[in-house]
Amino acid sequence: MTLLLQLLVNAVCNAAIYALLAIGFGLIYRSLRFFNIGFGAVYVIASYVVIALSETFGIPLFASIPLGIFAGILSSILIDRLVFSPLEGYGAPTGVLLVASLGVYIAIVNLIALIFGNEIKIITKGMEPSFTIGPIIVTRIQIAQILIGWTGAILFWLSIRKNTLVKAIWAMGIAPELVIALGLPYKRMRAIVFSLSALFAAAASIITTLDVGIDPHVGMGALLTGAVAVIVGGVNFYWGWVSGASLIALLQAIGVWLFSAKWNELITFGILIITLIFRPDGIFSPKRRAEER
Amino acid sequence: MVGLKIKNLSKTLLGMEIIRKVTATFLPGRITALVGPNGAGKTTIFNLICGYLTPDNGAVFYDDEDITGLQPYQVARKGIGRLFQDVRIFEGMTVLENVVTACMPYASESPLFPFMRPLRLSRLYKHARERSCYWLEFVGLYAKKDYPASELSFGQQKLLAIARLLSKGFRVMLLDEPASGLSPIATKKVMATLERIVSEDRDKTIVVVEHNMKVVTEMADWVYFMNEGQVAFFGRTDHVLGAREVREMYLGF
Repeated sequence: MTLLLQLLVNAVCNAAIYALLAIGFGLIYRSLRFFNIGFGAVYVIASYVVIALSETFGIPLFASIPLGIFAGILSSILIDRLVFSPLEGYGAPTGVLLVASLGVYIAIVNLIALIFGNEIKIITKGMEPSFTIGPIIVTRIQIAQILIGWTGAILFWLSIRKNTLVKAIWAMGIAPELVIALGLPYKRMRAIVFSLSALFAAAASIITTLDVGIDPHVGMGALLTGAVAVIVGGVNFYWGWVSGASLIALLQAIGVWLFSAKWNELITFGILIITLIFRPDGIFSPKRRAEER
Repeated sequence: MVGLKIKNLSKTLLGMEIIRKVTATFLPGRITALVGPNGAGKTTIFNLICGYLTPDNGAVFYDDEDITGLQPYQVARKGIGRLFQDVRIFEGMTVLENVVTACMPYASESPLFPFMRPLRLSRLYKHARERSCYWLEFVGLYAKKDYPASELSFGQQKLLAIARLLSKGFRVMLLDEPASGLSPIATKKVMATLERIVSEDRDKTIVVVEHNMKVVTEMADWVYFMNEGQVAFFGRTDHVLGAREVREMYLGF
């Protein structure tokens, strides 16, 4: 029972990270309507910039982490400007953008593997300071995960409610040409979507790396977790993304308790498949609820 | 000269000359109609004005300012709004949100605005909401304001698009078939609104593409009759629609 409790606490931490990934992925998926695998590359870049700065140049973490986030944002905007925007200008369908983003991912990940090697890199060495609350042990980094993840989710929710820009970004996914006709600048909105997405990816990436380290190939796993959370929760519904992320984390924790941590990916994709069969609009999709009433 | 003016506009698409040296002036305080057979190039003119297409030749002037080649959103910010021929709404949003999204001021666009000026944002939002409710009430959609916009019927969606356009307060409105799909009573109401807008505010310019001749005769002050990418006739509504060639070419009697 203590084990289950501990696993549930871990699930809350993981949920926070998954929520960040879901928001980061969902922003682009929802507003630009394409499955951006390049998101995984941005995820990896942010952490490796932190590693390069802190290990090679000896810059302390409080300075290298913001720089890592900045590098993530910059690379995200650059990828869009150099690859996606021109393709879209030629009228490429979303399938082409998907393949292009896969290419971007492969190129960047292999470049990083070439420079830094394939093995796991760790930033913080030694044991994390931890706190014992009754039978449960929480590390410092886990508390940071919960704080950053959930504050990020709530801040984003606050800005989504009234901010024209976020409303317009939301609207952009439905009818981009209409957004333009109302006088909202498409290109700038696109840049903001990509930078916000990178901000969430970088936050999730760096905080995970501080905890367990990173190798160049984890980006794909992060991307897929985010994507499954968004699809399971319901693409059109912001709280659905966060709920989807929480659901994945919770079921993974139960999976670890009942079977083993090796089954985590199976659980993630099991949720995806079951959702797609029974509720293709997403489990938490509000539209369905309105119809059921 | 005030108003919207196009001069010698030409456009070739896929080797076909769709617009051939069209010159026209749309005056403020007037409703001008563009009529003509299908494929005459009426919608293309709108696309050229709004910046969705760039003309091969010619220019678009708005209040003597050359706005040719501006991005569509820049044209919209100059105060030129447009109603699309096929209804376009934000399907995932509620009816009210559809209008609010349009009528929030551009100032609140910065991603940091909600954190830096939360009170001002609240006020702006409240104001936008009130204005949206007013226009929804006006087109008769207020009771449905919390419905998902995708659940409205075609005619209602059209009314929603019109409410969104009106709430934005554009100085020039380019309306592509505003009356198609509307019930007679809704058509009447929309027409009355448009007429009221130009009579109350002599600064507003309205250009309509419409196939419903009843609407054109009752509403429009001036008519440009287009055929095969050219302006074939121009004049007061009754003169143009009364011309024998127009009757033969377009009206069919």
